[in-house]
Amino acid sequence: MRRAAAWLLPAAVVAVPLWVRDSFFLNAMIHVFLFGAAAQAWNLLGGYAGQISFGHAAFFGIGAYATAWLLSHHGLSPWAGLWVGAALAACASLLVGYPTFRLRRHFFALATLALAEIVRISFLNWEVVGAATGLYLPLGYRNRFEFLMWDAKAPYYWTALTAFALATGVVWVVDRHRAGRYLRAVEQDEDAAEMLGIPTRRYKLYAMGLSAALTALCGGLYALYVLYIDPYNVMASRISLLVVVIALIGGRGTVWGPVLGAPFVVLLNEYTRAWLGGAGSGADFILFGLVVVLLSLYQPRGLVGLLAKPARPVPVAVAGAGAEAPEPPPTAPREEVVLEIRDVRKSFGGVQAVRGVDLSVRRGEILGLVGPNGAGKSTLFDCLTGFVRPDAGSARLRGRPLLGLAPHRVAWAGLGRTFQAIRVFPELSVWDNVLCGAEHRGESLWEATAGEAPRAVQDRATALLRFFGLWEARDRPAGELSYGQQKLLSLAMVVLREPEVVLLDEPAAGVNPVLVEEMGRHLRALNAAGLTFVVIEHNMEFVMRTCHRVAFMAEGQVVTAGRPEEVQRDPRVLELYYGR
Amino acid sequence: MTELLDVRDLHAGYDRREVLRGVDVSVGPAEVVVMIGPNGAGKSTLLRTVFGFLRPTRGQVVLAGEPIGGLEPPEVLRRGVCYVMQGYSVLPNLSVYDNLLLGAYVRRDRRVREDVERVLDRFPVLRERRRHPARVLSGGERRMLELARVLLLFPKLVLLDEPTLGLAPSVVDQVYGMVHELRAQGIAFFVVEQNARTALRNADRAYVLEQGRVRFEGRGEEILHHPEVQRAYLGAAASPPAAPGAPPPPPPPG
Repeated sequence: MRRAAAWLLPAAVVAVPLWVRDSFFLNAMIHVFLFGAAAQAWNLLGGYAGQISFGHAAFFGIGAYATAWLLSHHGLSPWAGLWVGAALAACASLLVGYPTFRLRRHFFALATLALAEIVRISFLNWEVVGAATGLYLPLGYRNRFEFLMWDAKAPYYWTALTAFALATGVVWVVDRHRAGRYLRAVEQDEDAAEMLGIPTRRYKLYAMGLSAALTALCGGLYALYVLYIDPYNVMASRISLLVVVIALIGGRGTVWGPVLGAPFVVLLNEYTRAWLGGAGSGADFILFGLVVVLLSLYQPRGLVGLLAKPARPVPVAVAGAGAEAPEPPPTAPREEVVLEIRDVRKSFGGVQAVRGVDLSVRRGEILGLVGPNGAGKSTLFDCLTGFVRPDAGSARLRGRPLLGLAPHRVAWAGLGRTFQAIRVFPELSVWDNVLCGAEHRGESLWEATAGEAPRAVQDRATALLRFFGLWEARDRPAGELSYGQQKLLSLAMVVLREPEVVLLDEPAAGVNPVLVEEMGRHLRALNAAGLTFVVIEHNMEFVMRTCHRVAFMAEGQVVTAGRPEEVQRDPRVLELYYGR
Repeated sequence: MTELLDVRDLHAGYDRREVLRGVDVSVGPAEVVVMIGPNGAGKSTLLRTVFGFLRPTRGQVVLAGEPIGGLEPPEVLRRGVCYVMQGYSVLPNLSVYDNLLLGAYVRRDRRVREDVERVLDRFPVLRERRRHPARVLSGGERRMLELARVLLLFPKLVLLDEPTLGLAPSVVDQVYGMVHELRAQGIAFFVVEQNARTALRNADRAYVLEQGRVRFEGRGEEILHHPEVQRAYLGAAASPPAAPGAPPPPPPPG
C-alpha cells in the first residue's frame, strides 16, 4: 500500500498537465517547482550547514540574467547558458563566503543581504544587460527543445518539475552520505566539528557554492518561462525571503521539508492573492503571514514535523549500570616522547594564563594534569589544539610542529581532544556522532558526498559503541542520552580515528561514582590497546588509579611532575591544591 | 508542619517522557539535604520542578505550609527559594558587580546597593574583581559569585545543582565551608551532587534517587556507609587504591 503510493503519487504529479488545462493552476505549479528547487538549494546551506542566507535572490538573478543574456545576445542555447549562470553564481557566492565564514553566523546573514542589494543595484544600472529596462527573451526560439521555450504551459511544467527533482536528489544524496552528517555537525557545534578534524570552512564553502549554483539554475529556467526579466522580478528581496520561508515552513535540514513547504507556501500565496488580492492591497499577505506565524508557533519543526511519527517515549537510561568490564592488564609507557611541549606562553590582557609550560608526553602513557582552578590547564589544551594562539613556545607531535595550525589541522596531525562541557552533536544520532570522528585527512569532498564511511571505519565504530555500551542507543539522537552516556560518546568520537595523543578535559566531572569507575576502566583498556592520553581531572581517586604519571600545574606553570603518589605528597601540591 | 520544603508524590517530565515518578522529599529549616543518584535519575529535573521551570504533572510542592507547585520561577524566588544551576549561571560579559545587582532583580526596595557592599565584604575575592567581566573569574570564583548573588535575596532555601562540578579539592572545601556558614545563619540547602562522598559527609540528611523514585533516605553518614548504596552508587573504591599494577615509573621529564 505504502509502496504503491510511493510510485503513484509522483506518477500523478508528472501526469497533471495531461488532464488539467487550468492555466492558473499550471502556472502556480511551475512556481511551486522552481521556487521549491531554489528552497531546496537554500536548504543545503541554511538547513544543513546552518548558514542563514537572506540573499539567494542574487544567485537566482545571476542565473536568470546569464541564461537570458547569452541567449538574446549570442544565441547560446540555455543548455549551456544555464550552466554558465550556475558557475557565475557559485563564484559570486564563494567571493562572499570566503571572507565571511570566518565570522559567526549573523555576520554571514548580513553579508548575504548586502550582496543581494549590491547585485540588484548593479544590474539596475548596467547598460549591457539592459539596466532598468531589463531583457526580453527572443520569441523566435520558441517550441524548440534546445531552447527550452514553449507556447504551452505543459513543457514548462515538466522542466520545472525536473529541476525540483534534481535539487531534491542532490540534497538527498548529500543527506544520505558523509557530507550531510558533517554539515549538520558544523551547524550544531562548529568548534567540536573542527576538533574532530572536519574542515568546517571548506564544507561551508562547498554547501554555499552548490547552493548558489542550483539556485542559479532555477533562475535561468524562470527567465525562460516568464520571457522578460528585470532586476525587479528576478532579484527582488521577496525571492530571497520566499525560499527561506519555504524551507522553514517545510522543515529545514531535511530532504522532504522543502518538498512539502513549496506547494504549501506557493499555492497559499498564489490563491490568497487571487481571492483576496481584490479585497484591498495586502489582505492576501495578512492571511499568508498569519498561517506562517501559527505554523511556526505550533510546529517549529515545520510540516515535516506534522507528518513525522511522534517520538516514542524514551526509557530513562541509567548509565553506569552496564556489565562489569574486566580490568585491563597494566601497561607501561615507552621511552619515546610523542608530544613535546616547550615554553608555551599565553596571556589574556594583563592575565598570564600560561607562563612557560614544558611537558613531554611519552607514547603509551596516561598523563594526569591536575591543579587549582585557573591554573591554565584548559588554556594549555586550547593553545595545543589551535583554538587559542599562544604568544610563544613550541609544541611538536612526533617532531611535527602543532602551534599555529587550525584545529582541524591539529586533528589531522594526530591530536584528539574532548571539551570540559560535553560537545556531542545533540540532534545527530549516536551512530552519526561517532562517524563524525572518522579520519578526515585526505578525505575528498566527492568521497564525502557520494560515499559512506569505509567498511573498516564502520566496523571500528560498531566495536567502540559496543565497548562503551552505547550500541543499543545508536539510532537515538545524542541529545537524548544521559549526561554520563554523552561523556562516553564524546570519548568514543575522539578515539575512533586512533589519534597519536588524546587530550581529555575532565572526563569524570559530573559523572556518578559508578560511571567514573567505568570511565577509568575504559581509559585503561584503550591505553592497553596503545592510545596515549593527557587527562585534566579533579577527581584525584580517578587520577591515582588511572594515570602513570601526574603533572601538577599552578599559576600557569608545571610545578612538579612524577609518579602519582609522589606528586600527591608533594608539599607544594598539598598547599596549593588541597589547601593544607 | 515543621518542614520548610515538603515534596509529596511529585511527577514531572519533558513532553511524553516522565522523569520523576512519585518523589517524596523534605527539607527542614536550616538543614543541608543532599541528593545523589546515577546520571539521568532525575535529580536536576527535581530541582527544576521545585523552582517552577517545569510544571508537575501530579503531586505537590509545599513551601512553609503554602503550595508552590506550578508557580512561575520569579514567584518562587520571591517566596525565598533560590536556584543555582548546574553549569555556570553567571553572565560572562557583565562585571562581577553587575552580576550581583542583577541577582537582586526581584527585590523592590532601595537597599540593594548597601547589601551588595555587605556581600562583597564577605567575599574579598569578589570585591577585588568587582569591575572585571565575570568571564575572567576562575571556576571557584564563579561559584562564589553565584552564592554571593543568592545571599542578596535572603533566601530560606537554596537549591544547588552540582556546586562542586569541575572544582579543585581546596575550592570544594571552600564551597562546603560557605554552605555550613550560611546554614548557621538559618538558610537551608538542597544539594544535588555527583561528587557523592564529599556531599554526603557534609549532609545532615540524604536521599538516593533512581529512575525517578527515592530508593534510600537517611542521615548523611548512614547513607555514606550503607553497604548497598556503597556498592551500587558510590563505586567499589571506598579507599583509594594504588595505580593499576603499579606500572614502572617513566624517567622524570626533560
